Amino acid sequence: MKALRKYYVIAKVSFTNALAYRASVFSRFGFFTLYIYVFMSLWRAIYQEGAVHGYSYAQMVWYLIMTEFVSFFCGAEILQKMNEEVKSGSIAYLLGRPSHYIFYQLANSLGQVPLNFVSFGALATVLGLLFVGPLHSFTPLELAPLLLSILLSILLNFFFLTLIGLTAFVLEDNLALYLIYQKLSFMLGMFLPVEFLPAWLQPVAKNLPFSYIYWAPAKIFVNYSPALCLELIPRQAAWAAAAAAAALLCYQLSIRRLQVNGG
Amino acid sequence: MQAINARNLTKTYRTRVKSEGLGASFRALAKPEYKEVEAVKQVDLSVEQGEILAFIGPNGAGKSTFIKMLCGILHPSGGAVSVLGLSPVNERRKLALRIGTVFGQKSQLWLHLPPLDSFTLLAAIYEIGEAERKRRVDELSELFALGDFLRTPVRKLSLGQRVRCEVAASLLHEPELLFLDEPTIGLDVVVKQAIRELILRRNRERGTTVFLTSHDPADIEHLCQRAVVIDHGALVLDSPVDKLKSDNPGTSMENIIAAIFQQETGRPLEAASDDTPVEEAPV
Ligand SMILES: Nc1ncnc2c1ncn2[C@@H]1O[C@H](COP(=O)(O)OP(=O)(O)OP(=O)(O)O)[C@@H](O)[C@H]1O
Ligand SMILES: [Mg+2]
Repeated sequence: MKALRKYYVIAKVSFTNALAYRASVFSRFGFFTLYIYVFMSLWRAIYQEGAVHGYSYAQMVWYLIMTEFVSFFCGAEILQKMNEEVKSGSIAYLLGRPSHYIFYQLANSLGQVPLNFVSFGALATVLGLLFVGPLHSFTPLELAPLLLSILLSILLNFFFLTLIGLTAFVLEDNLALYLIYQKLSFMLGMFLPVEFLPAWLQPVAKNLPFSYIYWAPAKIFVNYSPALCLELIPRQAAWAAAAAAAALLCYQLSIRRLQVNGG
Repeated sequence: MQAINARNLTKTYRTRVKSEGLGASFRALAKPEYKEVEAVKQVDLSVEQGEILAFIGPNGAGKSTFIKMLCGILHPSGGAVSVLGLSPVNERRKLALRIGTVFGQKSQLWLHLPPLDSFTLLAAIYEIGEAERKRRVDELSELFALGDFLRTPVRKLSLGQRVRCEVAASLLHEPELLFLDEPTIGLDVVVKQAIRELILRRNRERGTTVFLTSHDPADIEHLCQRAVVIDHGALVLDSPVDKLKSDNPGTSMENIIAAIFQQETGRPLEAASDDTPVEEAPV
């Protein structure tokens, strides 16, 4: 109980910190809108009429909005933070406390979600309604599975970023790793739905974790069916659990080699 | 009981060496070269509970490295150590509940939030109840004269105000053993004295063991009973502070320390015992 409360308070303080920082939310609103606008224009040029690979134009724009929504609130801040803590050596304080480093970072990261969720959620809804009107297939029934899918995306993304962050314990620079991760998740779902990939690549993508960060929640959102949820959500959960296990294991292995800087 | 017991404690850092030039970069990619730095070499040290110990040495002597091993955040390369009867590496979290650390050059407070929020966070991490937290924060606030600072975002505090909050934060869970790595760095004389006074009070009232590193001779003179000197990773002196003073009558603590350092690094002693530094020449 006490252990759980610990991480709840960390998340709460992190939330307060996000509120103190809220100016950055508004500056990112501009980027969010611009991004949606640019890619929407691209899709409009591609779509003359009808549907492509089962997505109508409106669905495609809502898909885009959903993937951007997810990416804007489970961003790379946690990775930057971890790298900075290793470089400056302030990680010494975190490691010297009776809390688990990984769960500390998780609570910290989740604490930033509510503010982003509400602010970007509102913006995303407004933009979607403005640009292409309501998504007709959407029903309130899908809200619960959709939220679950988004949560799993956040967790999966968090543990991936943590894995990359942990490499800072032994490597001097992990930017290259991050770029690879970013490009893969961009191509395998964030920008293009998996159905748009070449036929041979689709099964590969479905068996890799990257598509389950953006493709899964966005597909559930625009193409909801219970069968789809039953297919995608367990896979998201499995990948999130695997990434969590890998992160915890890597932490155990790399902590021995960490050479806490400075002092 | 012993607060600290280190036997043959050793730490070797392994760092990548980078030579200049593009060719060297490619070679390093294929076959990285490593350089080993023996930061702490087979140190034996025991500290009794309730002691205030000065752990001093020139820059780069290995002091911070030693402290980090005692807290369990750096894994030793060799030797054995027990702190409050626990193994820092294997029982790190259990130990963490009973020790406190201040790294004078690092911050544990959330920069954009008032210290009070950081205290709330720490209280939860150290499993301190609500009522108890309020009591301790009030007590520390009074002791450190924190007042309004508690509600001011940390980035808006002066260094001295922030450090007082940092030290207070490290005392919130009432540790039995306190590691202070240069806690008075960059502070003015008055704040330094205040911090010393607070540490002394903790020691007298609660028997808190204090393990202090500092480059300020006054910290050692006014705070510590025993001085241990480390140089190039090895212990070179272990003596009561009073004995250092009585052995060198009329010499300032600064010069006593300088003499020890210079002796160990092989420089001539005479220069150090010169008691008239240039700055103090009559105007
Ligand atoms: N993370 C690290 N990686 C590699 N070498 C390190 C690292 N940290 C310290 N060292 C080396 O270990 C030696 C001891 O460093 P340490 O920080 O323990 O010294 P110190 O006694 O605390 O010095 P100071 O008084 O300047 O703070 C130095 O030679 C330093 O260069
Ligand atoms: Mg140091």
